[in-house]
Amino acid sequence: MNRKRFQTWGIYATLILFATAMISPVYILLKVSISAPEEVNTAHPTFLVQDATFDHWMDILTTEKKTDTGLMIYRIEGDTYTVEDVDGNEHTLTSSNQFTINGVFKKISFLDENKEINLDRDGLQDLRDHLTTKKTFFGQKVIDNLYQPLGKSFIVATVTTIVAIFICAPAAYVISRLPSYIGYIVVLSLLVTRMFPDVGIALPVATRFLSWGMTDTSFGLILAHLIPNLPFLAWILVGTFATIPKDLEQSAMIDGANRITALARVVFPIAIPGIAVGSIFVWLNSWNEFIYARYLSTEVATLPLRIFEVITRGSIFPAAACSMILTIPVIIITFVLQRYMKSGMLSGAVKG
Amino acid sequence: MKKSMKLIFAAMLSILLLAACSSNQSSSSNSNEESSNNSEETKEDQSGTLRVAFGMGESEWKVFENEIIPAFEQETGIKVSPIAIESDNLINKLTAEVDSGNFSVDMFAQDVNNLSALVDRDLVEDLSDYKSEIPDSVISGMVDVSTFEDQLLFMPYRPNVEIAFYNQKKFDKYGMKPPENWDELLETAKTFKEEEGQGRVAMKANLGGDNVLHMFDFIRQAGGDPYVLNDEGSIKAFTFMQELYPYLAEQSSKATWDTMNQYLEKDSVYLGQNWPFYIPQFHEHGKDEIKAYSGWSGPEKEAHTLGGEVIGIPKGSKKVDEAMQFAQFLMSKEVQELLVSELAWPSVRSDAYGSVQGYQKPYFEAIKNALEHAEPRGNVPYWGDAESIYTEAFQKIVVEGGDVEENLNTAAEQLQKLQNQ
Repeated sequence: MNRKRFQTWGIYATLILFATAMISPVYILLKVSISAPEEVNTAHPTFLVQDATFDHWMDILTTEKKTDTGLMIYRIEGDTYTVEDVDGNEHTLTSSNQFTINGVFKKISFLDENKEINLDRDGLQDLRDHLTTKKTFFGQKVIDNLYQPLGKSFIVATVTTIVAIFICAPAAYVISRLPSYIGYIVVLSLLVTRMFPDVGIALPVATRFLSWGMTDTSFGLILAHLIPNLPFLAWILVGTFATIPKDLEQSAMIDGANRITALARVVFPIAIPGIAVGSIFVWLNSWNEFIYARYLSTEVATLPLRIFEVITRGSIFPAAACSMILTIPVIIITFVLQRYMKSGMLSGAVKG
Repeated sequence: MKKSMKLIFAAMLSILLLAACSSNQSSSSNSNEESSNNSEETKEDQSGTLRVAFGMGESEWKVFENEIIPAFEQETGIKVSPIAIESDNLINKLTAEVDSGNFSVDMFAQDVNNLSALVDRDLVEDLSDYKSEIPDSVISGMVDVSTFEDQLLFMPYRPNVEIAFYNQKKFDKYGMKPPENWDELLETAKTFKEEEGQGRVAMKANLGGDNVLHMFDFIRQAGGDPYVLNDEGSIKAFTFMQELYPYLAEQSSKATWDTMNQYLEKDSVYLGQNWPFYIPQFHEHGKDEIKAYSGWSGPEKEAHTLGGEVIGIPKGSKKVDEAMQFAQFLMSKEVQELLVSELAWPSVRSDAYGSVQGYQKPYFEAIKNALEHAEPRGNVPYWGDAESIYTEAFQKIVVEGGDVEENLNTAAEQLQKLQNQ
């Protein structure tokens, strides 16, 4: 009894340890995304959030309001501010004035009246220290830098998964029903295609896709993502179908079902756990894929590509917030699909 | 189950809606995208949109997107579509695009010390006919780095140089000053190691391109010629690096142009050289104790490798004229002054003086001082093969503690062979 209890506690302790190890990186990512920089940029950062801030999230979720021509719209901080133009005339700006700045030619243009003021470089510099802008959640920059990459990643990952299942499931079923030595050769040849690193074949693929006009299209990226994922999914599903006894479909056919009905009503429902596992892997592979996306995306990046850009040239804080956005759909999809992974589906299916 | 499926469906729908809110650059369906791709390109060709690739930091992008590009569009009527691509990825992308003759980039800015691959692969237009359009006031060193075997393949745009960043709080804690020469540098590295139990001075000893630039600096500081490699100066430089190496931070082997900033910011490195692009982030993150100065001198002089970026145009591009207009706009006095004032970038022109203010001022002074001692790495046609000779010499001598002269003689022979080919 004591030994059993000890074993149970041991199992729980191990599970908690593993769960902690898996969750910790996600927690640290979340912590960095909502921590003040001073709290993280130290040799000994604290484990718990001491001073929560949503500034990093606001940085990636909002953008300054702009005119149609791409110039930012400014207001002055405070009630009034006086500037001196290049001719020495003074102009008083009030908090109700909205204006744009052309920093190259050193002039400010008012939106509410047809008026421009030319300043010298120092005057413009002083003015910049007294400006404020209005933030918006759906500015073009947020759409370009976040929603478009997010949408592209989601569409590509989802369509890649669906197409891969439609192609691989019937193919894997056929392979699993072939004589074992032929099936083994086919599976082996599928795996051989995974021996070539993606980075080695991405360039010729990109060159071909460029000449076909398929760069920067989701369609091109889906095709590229199918290259590594089809053999991988087929390999998983061959194993799944191989475990389903032939007797089951034969029983269905004896009861009057044709082969297609037997497949649709009997074999595939039983194979759902394997298909779910394969789907999760394919979706995650495509969602996180970087190399093909790097070659085939110019104007609209995928989310991993966007995070890479933020990390390399920006700071870790908006990168952490972006990474959380990348992580959330993964958690949701995995949580939903794991319900299909039921063991014991076949127990008692075939009587001896 | 049904509930969660509904939730997923709602999430998918909202993401798709958000994606659909975008400009018509990306169409809402795959089939549309595919079929409209070629017509899209033709449309862009006709409307004169210039697609320009840059690799810049956040604060740098803001100035370009909010001020420089709109001003150029107003001035010329040419629409500019900026694209973020880092230096190494640009090479792969251009390789694919030049091969296929199908361009998604009409013009790009590229690191001056990462040009050899573009030239070796014949990926860029010859711009020699436009040489007369480079203003006289442009720094001659930037024209030199743009020239390969008497052909002007790039246009000058932005000089840059590495400066030495140091953590003033940590230096004050041990009553030290930033090192001004090799002896002080060694003493600083030793002191930190003794006091803290681990090295706090870092150099980019990553056996990559960054590492080679640091080697060039040390060799030239000792009066050596990095293209000879077994002269007296080179021997002095490698002897010093070998002596310094045990006292360096362990992060040195992984330090690159981007990770060095993280080490400085997280207080794991107290002194290290890097490019200045991260200065606004240090300030934004409240790390004003990270100061900068131009760096240390060697036995002969202070020396830095000239960095920065030049403008290139992919070979076969149909937008050369528009790209050259934008290149000239970037070289103009007004734009260069703005870049000095807003980003503390050193100007490519000797007659553009922006007024740097506030926290950026001391950093800008450090950059200016370093630029006074900067010289180009040198455009040699065999650079792609040469890099590994330097890193191998570094590995054998500095990391493994091998004999300096013997290993440098071997490396010099290999270098000589490349030069004679």
